[in-house]
Amino acid sequence: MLRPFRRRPAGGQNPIDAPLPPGTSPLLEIDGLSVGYEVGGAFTTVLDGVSLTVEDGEFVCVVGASGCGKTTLLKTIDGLIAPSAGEVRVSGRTAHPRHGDMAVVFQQDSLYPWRTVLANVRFGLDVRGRRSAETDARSRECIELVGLRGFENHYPHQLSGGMRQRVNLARALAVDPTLLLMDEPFAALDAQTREVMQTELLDIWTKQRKTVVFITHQLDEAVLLADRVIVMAAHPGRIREEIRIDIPRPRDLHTKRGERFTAYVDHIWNLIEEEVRRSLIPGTAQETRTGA
Amino acid sequence: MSGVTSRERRARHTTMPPAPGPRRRRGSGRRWRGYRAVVSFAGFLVVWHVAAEYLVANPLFLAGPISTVQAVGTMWADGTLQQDLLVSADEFLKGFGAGLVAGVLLGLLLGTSRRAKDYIDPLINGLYATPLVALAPLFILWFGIGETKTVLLVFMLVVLPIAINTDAGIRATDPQHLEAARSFGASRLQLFTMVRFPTSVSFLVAGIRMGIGRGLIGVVVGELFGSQSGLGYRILVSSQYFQTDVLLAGVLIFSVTGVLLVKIFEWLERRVAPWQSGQG
Ligand SMILES: Nc1ncnc2c1ncn2[C@@H]1O[C@H](COP(=O)(O)OP(=O)(O)OP(=O)(O)O)[C@@H](O)[C@H]1O
Ligand SMILES: [Mg+2]
Repeated sequence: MLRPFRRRPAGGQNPIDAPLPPGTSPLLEIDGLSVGYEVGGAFTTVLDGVSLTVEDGEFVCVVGASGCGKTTLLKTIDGLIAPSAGEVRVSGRTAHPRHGDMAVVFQQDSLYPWRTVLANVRFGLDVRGRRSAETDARSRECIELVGLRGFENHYPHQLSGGMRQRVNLARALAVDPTLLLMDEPFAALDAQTREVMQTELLDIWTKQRKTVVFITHQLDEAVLLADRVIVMAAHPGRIREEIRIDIPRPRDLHTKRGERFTAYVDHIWNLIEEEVRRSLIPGTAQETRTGA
Repeated sequence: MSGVTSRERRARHTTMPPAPGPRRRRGSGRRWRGYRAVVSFAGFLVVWHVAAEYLVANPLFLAGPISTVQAVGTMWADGTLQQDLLVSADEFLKGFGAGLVAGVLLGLLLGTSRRAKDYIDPLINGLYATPLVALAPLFILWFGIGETKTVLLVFMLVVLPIAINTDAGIRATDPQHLEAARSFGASRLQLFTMVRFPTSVSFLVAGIRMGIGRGLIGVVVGELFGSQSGLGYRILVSSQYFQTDVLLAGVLIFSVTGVLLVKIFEWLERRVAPWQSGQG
């Protein structure tokens, strides 16, 4: 069995963390967060001293080599994993799924095969209360928002991969979260569908002004979407650099041809290249372990 | 929506109509399968007929398909068939119903409590491997030659596959599905009712299908040992008088009943769990 373990905070404050202007309180505050897993009696630190604040309405992308702890960070923000040290606060409260202010779009397709599109989108609302005309109407709205009108009564296995990810997004939007957490939602899609989904997501974000934390492997995706890109380092996972993306909005696919855009992508790539290479060669990645 | 979206949506409509597509292909496939079933069934009847009329050529040992069907007609006409069917159906439904309820409950217990599973699993595995029909004589000792012992036998045969499958279904729940539900704030009870139980339904369906076959065996065996009515009893008596046409008529009715029950159940399954179809 795997379970998070408790440990004293190892790292200090992240030096990159800019002090907040007095009076504003950020929507998401991550404070000296450490998370580890216990596997077969050995502890592995996955995140070490991660601190990050996200403003209300901000779109933040997180990039980093595979296995650096991005998914772990997201699940800890959502309260699915208990940190061994540090704290996550959303709107000033310690994060917990029951608070109902967050929703996750997972890396893997996690729709319920026995529920229709409509019922899948309604899932979060069903968890929170009785099914009613309003919850149905709300779900239909979200289905329309992601462009799937007419597919309400289809089952997931009758949809393409791109359509399924739209349903995943609609399911998260249906509970009207203040903070939307997305874990490589478009990774499994082909290049064209992914680009379409990116612009649609920007569209929805512009309309609804949600705060988004978006994990991705695609650096161009990160630069296209984000106000700020968080670059993570691995072993243990920590924040390496934060990069503010000063490209005016609205952005679309043409943005990707701009010089500024390419410069940002190159810069981020230079930051993580070495680590990505190392993560591809087995045995070279040193892990921080503490004995049982 | 952005322009790209509507462009994409238009493309989707030209290549893939919203009504699920492969209806025509599936229809013709079904028809072909229907033909093949008829051919194979007809072939079986021919072989049976030839064997009975020309190879064995003695109705005391093997009646042919024609005289078997005639026997069904005679039994219907004098009312014995209806009587026997009623008794057998009554026993089957009682035993199967009780087995289904108890099996699901037991499966839920096994699937939700590790400790209960540790205690009960060895017993279930042992019982499942035991040919339970061997207990029929003991049941006669306990309950006499009435209906009760047959019902009990059917129950014993039905409850195990249903419990085992329900348990397996609950344990087969995708961790990803559980995590998504948790992220929406689902309680433990909701994780069960909204994720684990629906997952187990397809397994339960398989268990019920097995239960139907085993339950019918229970009816026959129960009635072969110390009964005075029912189809199984009719089969036994007819063998004592060398009436192989009546004997095979009884067998035929059992097999038709089995097929019908499974068909009815498949129809129900399509109504209750439509997502199962088309998932391979
Ligand atoms: N449940 C778990 N139990 C033990 N170790 C885990 C568990 N989940 C993740 N890990 C380990 O934690 C580290 C970070 O995993 P995580 O899934 O957070 O990485 P990631 O950055 O999301 O990777 P990817 O980009 O490939 O999705 C990995 O080394 C992984 O082996
Ligand atoms: Mg991940």
